[in-house]
Amino acid sequence: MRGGLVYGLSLVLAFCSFYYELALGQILSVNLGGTKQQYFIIFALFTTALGFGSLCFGRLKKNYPLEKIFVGVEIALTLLGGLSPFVITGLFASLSTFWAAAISYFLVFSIGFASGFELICLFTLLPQNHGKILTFDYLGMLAAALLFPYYLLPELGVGASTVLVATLNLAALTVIMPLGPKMRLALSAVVGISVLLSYQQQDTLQDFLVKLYLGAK
Amino acid sequence: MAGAMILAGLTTEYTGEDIYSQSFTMGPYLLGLGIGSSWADRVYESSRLKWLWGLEFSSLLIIASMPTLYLMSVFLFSHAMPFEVVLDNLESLRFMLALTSVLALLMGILGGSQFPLLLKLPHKIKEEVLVMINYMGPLMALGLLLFSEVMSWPLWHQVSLVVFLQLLGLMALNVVLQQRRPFYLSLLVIFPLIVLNHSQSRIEGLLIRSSYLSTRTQLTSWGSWQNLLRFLDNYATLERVRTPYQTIDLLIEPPDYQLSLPGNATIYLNRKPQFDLATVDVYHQSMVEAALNLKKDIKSILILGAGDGLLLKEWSPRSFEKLTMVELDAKMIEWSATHPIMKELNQGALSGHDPRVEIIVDDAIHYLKNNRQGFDLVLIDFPFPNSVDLAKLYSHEFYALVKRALKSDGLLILDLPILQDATGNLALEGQTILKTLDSAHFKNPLVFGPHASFVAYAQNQSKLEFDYSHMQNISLQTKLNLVPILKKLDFSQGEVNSMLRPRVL
Repeated sequence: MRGGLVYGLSLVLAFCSFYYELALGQILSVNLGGTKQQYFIIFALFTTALGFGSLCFGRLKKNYPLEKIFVGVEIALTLLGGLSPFVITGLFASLSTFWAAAISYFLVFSIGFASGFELICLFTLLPQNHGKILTFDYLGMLAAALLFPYYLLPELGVGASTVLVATLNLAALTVIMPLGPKMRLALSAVVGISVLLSYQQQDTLQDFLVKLYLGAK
Repeated sequence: MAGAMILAGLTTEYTGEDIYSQSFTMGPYLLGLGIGSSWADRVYESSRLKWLWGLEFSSLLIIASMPTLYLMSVFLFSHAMPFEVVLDNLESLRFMLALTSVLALLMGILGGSQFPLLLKLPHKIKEEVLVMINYMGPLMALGLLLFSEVMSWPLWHQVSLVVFLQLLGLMALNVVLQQRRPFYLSLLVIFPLIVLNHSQSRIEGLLIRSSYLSTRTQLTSWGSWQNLLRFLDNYATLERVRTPYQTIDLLIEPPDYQLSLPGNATIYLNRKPQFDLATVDVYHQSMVEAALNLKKDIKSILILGAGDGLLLKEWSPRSFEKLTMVELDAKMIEWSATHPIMKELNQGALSGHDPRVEIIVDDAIHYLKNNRQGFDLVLIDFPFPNSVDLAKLYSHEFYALVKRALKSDGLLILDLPILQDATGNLALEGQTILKTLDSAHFKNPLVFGPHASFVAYAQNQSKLEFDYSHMQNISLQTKLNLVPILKKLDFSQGEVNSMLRPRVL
């Protein structure tokens, strides 16, 4: 893979992962209270999971080709990241606080674990340029750190912005996967429709989440 | 990372701007990490270890001296400029955010270049193991902050802990380098750093007092500096308590016999004034007397916030069956129950002797979500919503939960902190609060209090009015505050604030 593409991927994937971290912090603090505490727990769990993810990469690499691992990770992240705010809010509506919190933290750990594979996959793709890959990784995090409080959260809300970011995660697949022109077109169409829907239906998504939240115990 | 977090906390404390402070710290810090790691690729193989030592040493110096330099710069800047108020103005805010950005960028560059250098050093450790260990660093910092009392430590203790951990890293590098000179050099810097950090508490005290007392002196000579420092040292005393959730300041001003001014004590939460001796009674009595006047036969009461015990004190001599107070900050309750001045003000209401009163330490959102017992009256007394965290307590979802906690004929009274803009209309922040309450089906607001303002709602949406024929045993000051204001309420410009789509208040 070309250097520019790897750097671009590093930026986008770091943006998505850091966004999930922030969005999950917001969702869990809304459901459990104690914003500072929840953000700390999420960051701690997420970081640990990132570490375990990168550690497990070595074992997985022996059995599967890099491309397959990467694609699997991105599909998992798109689904887990994109659905987690809705699933977590639903869990608090239907289960006891203990079980809802336990499953939510497991979800957070899973997203972190999957994200942990990303950086090390990118390192393997471009072994001589660790520093530059890290640069774009940090820049992606910077973009998420600025866009989350100033645009995504206040303008789109957690629901719509999560769908948007998950779509971006899905778009990364078109770069990684060896696709034929028809499949590439189909995947691009799915991405495009998702972006449009998340913008147009932002109020519906917001109302849905609020109703789910208020239905909670 | 711990250094950046301390810097973000410091900036939040002095600017009062949560989002800006976090962004202007974490943004440049991450940018610095990026620049640092990009630069690290260009370092020659032979000099990597030396660079690593130099970078680690520089980080140590910057983190150790950062709070003192920061506070000193802000103090000097705010007194060298002809501002009306020392800290709370736009110029000071810009200066502090610029200073924060530069320091965070510097810390980021130093931190970001270390990991790629470490990865490229000759070693037998697998890359993924190193990446994992690298992730464990921030985990340690976060764990330390979360599961210990570190967050309520004085600033210089927090910094000392980070410096100590960094020093351990430097020692480890010294072992790798197998050289004695850098080892002694790193030991030598510890002592001046401790002295520097210790002086930070004095600078912090001076800065806070000068801000609260709005000292404005033309500092043109050494003599004027000395006069200012003498005044700040001798005039008022400042007591500062840090809790995991807020910083409580108690400023005690002695009486001035020459000017016939009585002494005063003022409480600040996160540097925002809450009350002083002149306003303490009218605020709390207004809330309680308004409730008793608007609703007869109050049996069950829920108070959200008010950890100072002053609302409890007003309820103590009244007749009711059950009062539940939910306060997040246990340390605030403890301080208010034991501090001589606070104990005098709340008349020991937090002592736990009244069997009708239950004090619960919990997040109000969490409590409301998990308790569905109905209350006749809900009183909300939260600090000013100047952070995302506090804005959640002024959101659609929160008010919907409050509505659920009220009986069908219940009453809600809450503090309405931001009232009028320069043109005399309801300020945008106030409009947002009322619009958000309206979205949660709280209709027909009664906004009252020309001195301390509140808003009251009936659960059954009926129109509320004061009955002035039943206001005999109320102090004149409080009676004068139970007056409706803003009769023509227009909150059309406001937006609905949601926890899931927050609007800046």
